[in-house]
Amino acid sequence: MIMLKYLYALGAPKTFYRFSQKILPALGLMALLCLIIGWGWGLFFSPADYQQGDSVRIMYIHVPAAFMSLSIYAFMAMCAAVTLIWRIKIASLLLKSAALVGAVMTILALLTGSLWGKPTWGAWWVWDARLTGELILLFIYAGLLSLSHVLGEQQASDKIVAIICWIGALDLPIIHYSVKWWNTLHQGSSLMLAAKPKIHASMLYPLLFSLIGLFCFCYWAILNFANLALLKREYRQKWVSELEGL
Amino acid sequence: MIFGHYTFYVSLSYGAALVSVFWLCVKIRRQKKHTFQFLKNSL
Repeated sequence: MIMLKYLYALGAPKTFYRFSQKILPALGLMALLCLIIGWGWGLFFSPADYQQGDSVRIMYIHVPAAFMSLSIYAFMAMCAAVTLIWRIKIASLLLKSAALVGAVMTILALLTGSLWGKPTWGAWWVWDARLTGELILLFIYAGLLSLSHVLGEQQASDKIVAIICWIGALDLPIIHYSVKWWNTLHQGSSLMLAAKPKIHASMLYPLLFSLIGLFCFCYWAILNFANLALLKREYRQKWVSELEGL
Repeated sequence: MIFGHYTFYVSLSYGAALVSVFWLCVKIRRQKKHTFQFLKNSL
């Protein structure tokens, strides 16, 4: 109940703006530090794989990017639910801002997957369930971006984008469970929340740093985009004109 | 050839990651400039 009350308070544009301005520097700094440590460690200090050799270093980019492409869409689906049920404007701004970051992460995951696939599988691309699902996710992101661009700042656009986002969310369980439901070329998950990791600590730690770094960076970017969209939407309000630097 | 015959794949992957991060930062910076200009003009 307290949580819900807090969320409602955060839904007010002024409170949201002030809150995000406070956490943005910390989020950005955390992203920078974790990415330098994670990618630096992964590229120069982590060991090569006994089978895949040095190509395993692509994992420190590919796995966090693929994880972010899915988790950002899950975040968008949550924002869509909040938009449709409680009609909180901030949720719809966050949804639209997250689409661009999610699309970039999906492109990065597909590109690095392809670059990892060539030396290990011998092919740049295969029509495997996991890969095809991820490609469909990219098309969904592109569709949502074009739709919100075409509909602009209209009130109805928030609702339409939220509904389409919910329909697109059907792709998430398909991507996640594809490696279990079908016999795919793509390997199964090496990291799970409730289970012991299947990779050695010398590779696990740089991977975790990369994951946390990219997570912080993505939400830093999403919050920045959402804040700017919020200022543009609320430019007639008094609190906007009272901002420093204006 | 620090990563043997995987150098091409590894460097392209890390290059793509850096370009993605950099591109998003530039996009935020441009949008920030544009938004604040818009706000100054509308006040």
